[in-house]
Amino acid sequence: MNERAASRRRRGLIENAQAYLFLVPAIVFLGLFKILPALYAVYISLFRWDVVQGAFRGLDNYFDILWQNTTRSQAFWQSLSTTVTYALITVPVEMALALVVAYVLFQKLRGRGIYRTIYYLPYVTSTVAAATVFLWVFHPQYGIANQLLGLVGISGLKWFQEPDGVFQMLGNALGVAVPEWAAGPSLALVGVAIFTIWHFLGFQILIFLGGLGNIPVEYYEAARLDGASQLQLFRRITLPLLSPQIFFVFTIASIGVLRAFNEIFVLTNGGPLDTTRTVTQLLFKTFFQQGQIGLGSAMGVLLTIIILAFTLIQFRILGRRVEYG
Amino acid sequence: MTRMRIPTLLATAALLLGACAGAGPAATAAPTTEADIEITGPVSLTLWHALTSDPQKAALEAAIKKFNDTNGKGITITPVVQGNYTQLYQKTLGAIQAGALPEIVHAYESQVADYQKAAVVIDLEPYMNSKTNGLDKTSQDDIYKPYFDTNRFPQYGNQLLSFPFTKSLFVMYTNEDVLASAGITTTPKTWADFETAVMKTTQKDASGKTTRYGWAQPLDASNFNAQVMSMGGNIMSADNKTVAWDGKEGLAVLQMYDRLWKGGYAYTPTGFDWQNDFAASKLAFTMGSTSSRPFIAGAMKTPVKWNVGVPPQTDPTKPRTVMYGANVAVLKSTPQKQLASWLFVKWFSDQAQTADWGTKSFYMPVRKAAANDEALKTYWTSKDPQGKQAFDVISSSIPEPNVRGQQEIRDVILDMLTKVTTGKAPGDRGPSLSRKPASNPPWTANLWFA
Repeated sequence: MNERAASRRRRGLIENAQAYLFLVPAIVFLGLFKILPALYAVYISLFRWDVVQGAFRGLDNYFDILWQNTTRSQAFWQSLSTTVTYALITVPVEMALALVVAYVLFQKLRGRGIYRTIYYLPYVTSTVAAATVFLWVFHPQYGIANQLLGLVGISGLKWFQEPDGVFQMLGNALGVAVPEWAAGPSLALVGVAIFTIWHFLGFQILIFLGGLGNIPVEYYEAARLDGASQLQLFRRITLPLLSPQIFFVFTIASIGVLRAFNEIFVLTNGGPLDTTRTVTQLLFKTFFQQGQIGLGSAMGVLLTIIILAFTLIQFRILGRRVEYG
Repeated sequence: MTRMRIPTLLATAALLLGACAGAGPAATAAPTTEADIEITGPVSLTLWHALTSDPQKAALEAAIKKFNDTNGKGITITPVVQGNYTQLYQKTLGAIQAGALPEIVHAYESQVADYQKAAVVIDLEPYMNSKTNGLDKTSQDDIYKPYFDTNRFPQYGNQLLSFPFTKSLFVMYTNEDVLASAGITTTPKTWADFETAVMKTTQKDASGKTTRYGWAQPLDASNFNAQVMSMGGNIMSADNKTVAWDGKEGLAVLQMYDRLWKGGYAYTPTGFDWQNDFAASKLAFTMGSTSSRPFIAGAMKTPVKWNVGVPPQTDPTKPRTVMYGANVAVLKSTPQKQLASWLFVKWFSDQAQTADWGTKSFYMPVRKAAANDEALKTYWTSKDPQGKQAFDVISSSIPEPNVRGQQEIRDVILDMLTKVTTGKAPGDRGPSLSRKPASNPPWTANLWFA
């Protein structure tokens, strides 16, 4: 009996050792390239690190960014506000569009495969290359966007060079005075949001299509027999049963937008007049252009905390409403 | 008294004896500084640079190959492109943290100043003045003085921390065909004439939309600095502690931008589209670096008559413009590698080499005597007449300040220019400049546009 127990224990130990052995490559990779750099960033953020390591500052870099240094804190809160605005424009529009397109593409449509490919193409295109093309599409003088708008009498939009708020511009066009607080996001930021929506739409469509495919057809057939309309089918069956995918897409899109860098860097580089300077752009400027490595790292840590907090809130509030079947 | 004197005399005698004993062998056998040693074996060096595209990249690679093949001391340099200047700067900062620096790095003055915070840059003065490996007086005098001025760093005791490498100048490009079509026969020399010419060359259609612009100006702090200088102003105060561009000259530049942008005579280009506009005669003037010449020439589908020259001036008899471009810095390594790096830097500024560089890279030769180089003269006459025009501007050029804190100042200038050109200059009377009350350091934060 004792021998059998000992043998079982030995086998268990060997199995565990084997499992850990298989995990080693991933742990080493994650440790070296993700966890260690992240911990090192936290370490740097505690010092005055101006090209080289300076005096220990404790949490002073964080306090400077948050309230202590007027210039730094103003820039940080402004960039956070820009980031939130960018997220508020991008995520809901992107998700709504993706859901509608996915729903349409899920129907028995001729050439469905081609449409799916077309919608997915932007997502697999390099962000930098696509953003460069967008610069030409929205070029103030030669861009096709302005040429098309010219057909309906709208001309001279500067797009990525325009710091004016869109509501202010609309007000000016209609001869209505818009107060500064209601000026809205700059046209440049809206332009960046348009790019983001276009670029990531395909990914979300794909996720929604997967979710739609998992909903049993019998539910729809039964509902139809009960006389449900198309809208009722969508509201009562599709939406609830698609909630895991909606929640997933919402979480991923929110994190993606909060971390967005490449597209903004290429399209506006944080300008004009800082109206597209999101936290990642400010972090880049502080770290690489001003050489304030300690402050830049502190900003990175703060951004991570913000994203983490936001994601946790999402899980607490929305996670409960998700129906897993 | 006597008791005091005897030990003092003994100590002095001992010191003298010691000094003589120490000086004896050093004077005959060993060099006094690392700059005077000799290369004793093969040396491999890495040069990080930011010349990402041809013709400049190819020209540098060819020059380095020539040096590797002909230096006769076993020095081999490997050029490595590290992206554009910003990316190169990022990678060098990373390399400083990692302690894995190249031996030579291509950099702007402000970046060199940052690297030296980590004390990794070599002072080139001892190397330049070394009797064994340095540049003689004639050669030093032959290199344009502004090129030295820009590479000496006041905040580091005026050390020569870098050497001219890819130098260019802020110039005005004039499309003579456009000027002629507008009935203008001479290139404007003053800012007043320039403004008139910009307005005259601009064409608008019936709806008022501009179809040909007089001026395209990329928004950039260096461009603004050059324009302030050409109006007679200065960029920094004499003691380098506060800016000087916020005087009447700076204001005049902003007011001119305001008038020309609001009137639809000038525009802010996206990327390098102004080069195509200029080449297609859709633009009369633009101002920027002399190194844009090959790209403008390359964009011309039909021949265009165009010129390069100093920007308009308030006083054309004393023209002033900004010297652009980057330098090379030698980073701390071993004495052999440092010397080998210096020998490359020195070779690169030789008369024949700098002249050759001028014909292949479109950057400016660093020596006055390059103007006498037959190959360069032939090249200018046959292929690049604008190159000679640019070369003639060197003597009017002044380096931009290289003191720390310039990046913050440049951000303020860029914001200011953006506000003016997008019609966001506050107040009804157009742009104005005011200074925020001195508050927090750094002093650069006290500047503001109101």
